[in-house]
Amino acid sequence: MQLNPTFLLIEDNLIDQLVIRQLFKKILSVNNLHVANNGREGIEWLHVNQNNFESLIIILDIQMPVMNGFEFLNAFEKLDGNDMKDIEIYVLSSTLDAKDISQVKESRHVTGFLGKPFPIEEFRKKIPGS
Amino acid sequence: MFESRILRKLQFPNVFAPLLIVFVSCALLICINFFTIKILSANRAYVNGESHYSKGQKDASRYLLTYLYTQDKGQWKLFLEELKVPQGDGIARKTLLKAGDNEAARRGFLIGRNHKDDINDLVWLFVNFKEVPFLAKAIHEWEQGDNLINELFVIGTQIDAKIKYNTLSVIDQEEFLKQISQISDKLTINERNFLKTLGEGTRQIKDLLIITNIIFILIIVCSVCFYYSIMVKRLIVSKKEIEIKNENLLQVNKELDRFVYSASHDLRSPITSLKGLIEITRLEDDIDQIRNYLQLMHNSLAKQDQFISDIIDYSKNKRKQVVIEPVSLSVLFEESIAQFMHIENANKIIFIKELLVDEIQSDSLRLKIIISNLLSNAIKYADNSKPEMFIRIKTHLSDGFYKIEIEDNGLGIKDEFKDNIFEMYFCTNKNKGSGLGLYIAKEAVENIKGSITLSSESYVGSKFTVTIPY
Repeated sequence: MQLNPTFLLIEDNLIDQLVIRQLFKKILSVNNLHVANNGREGIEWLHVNQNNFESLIIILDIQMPVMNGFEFLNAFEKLDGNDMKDIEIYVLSSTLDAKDISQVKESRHVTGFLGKPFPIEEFRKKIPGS
Repeated sequence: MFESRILRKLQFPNVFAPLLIVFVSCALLICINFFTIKILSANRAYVNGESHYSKGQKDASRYLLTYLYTQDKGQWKLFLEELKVPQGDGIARKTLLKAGDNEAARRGFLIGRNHKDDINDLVWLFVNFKEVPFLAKAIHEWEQGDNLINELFVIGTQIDAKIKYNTLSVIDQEEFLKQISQISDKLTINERNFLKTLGEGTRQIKDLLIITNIIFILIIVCSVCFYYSIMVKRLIVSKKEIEIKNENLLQVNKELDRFVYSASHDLRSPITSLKGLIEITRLEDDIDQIRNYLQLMHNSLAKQDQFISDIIDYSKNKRKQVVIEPVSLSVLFEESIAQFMHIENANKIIFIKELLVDEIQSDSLRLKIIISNLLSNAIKYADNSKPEMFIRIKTHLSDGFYKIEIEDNGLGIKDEFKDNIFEMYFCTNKNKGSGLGLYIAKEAVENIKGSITLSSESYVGSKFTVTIPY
């Protein structure tokens, strides 16, 4: 794990984007948080920036228009060479649906599940070095 | 649903008609068979009675002849005894003709050596069918026979008188012998005709009986088959109906599942956003930033409130009966616009109204749902990069339909989304809407038997046209 990973937030809710950006800034002192408004924008970001990071942590919402979290994970699977990279995906959702949660946890690309509102302390413990 | 009820009402008599036919046919068949058997049994009793009649007459003739030649008193008594048999039948015939069923007639039949159990049938047939050709003919033969019996009796008394007074000569004897044998011959002919007539009648009745039985059984079989086919058809129809209903129920259930799933998420998401905002507000010292966060909290709550009222609209739209009443479109537009003035940029939008139709006959709840959803979308998705933002509202009457057009020069809808925008929970930006609005609007339009169409170009604007039957 690199000491300074790049962060990508894939989330459609503007308030949640703001909240997470502020928490990153104030608690983790991370000022450079990349934001994509839905799954498709997330995939596009990965295409454009695949050579611009050493290690990446994605925070992924489930319920989004255009391309939701599950669809993003399927698209991510098909991306070339993503296994080579050091990418961790944390799924973030307000869902309480047990089926959704277990589906998230079964995905081999998902490192962890986080419930909304964004649990910053729990997240900090999971990423050493920050 | 309504049509099928009418259809069922029309079918109702159809189902019971065959049953009624079967019932009536069976009843008629039973009656006909009962009476035919009774007639045949009575005929048999008459044939039996005739044999006693002719036997009595033959024996009487024989005893009279013996008496004529032997002058033995015993033979005379036997003659009288035997002659009583045809005489008894004769009394029965005469009294039945005169008075119908009576005690004397029944006694007459008993004297005629008929079996006591046959008397009822004998009387019944005579009284009810004496006018029927074959029986009338038989009765006529019988009458002639009775007359001859009378003659025989008269000859008998003449012989008896001559014997008593010893005036019987050999010539008398021969004369009487000749008379007796003549009467006997005539009687034999009458008796044969009587039997022949009864026999013919019986055979006719038998043929008739067979034919009616066959006809009625055919009617019954056909009716039962018809009834059966109707019932099978109805079973098939109702099975199909049940299958369709089941399909619809499954559909509704699926929809409900999806609704609960999405609703729980959409109801919870503003709360989690709010919690997040509270969290960062705690970390903030800058009073202006805090004010900004408070505004966002307010927005988050407003969004949740909007979502709840969408759900209420959805449920009202589903449950409430359509009520057709006069509705003022201009009032509905005014109310909706006033309601949405708080939305960002709303006060910068120019509303252009071209209302050629104002008051229409329709359902006000549905129209309100339709208009407010279309207007709120036009406001929410306005394009504030354009120097002038407008929303044009038109109403007019064309081809016998009311048309309501809501046109804007907003962000427009991308071609890829056009097929989906009326779907439940379809939403391009969850920050602006719940994904229920257009779905509910479409349901509302369908509830008042109208239609809704869209023409839109991305970045140019959208136009929704609602068509309502006049």
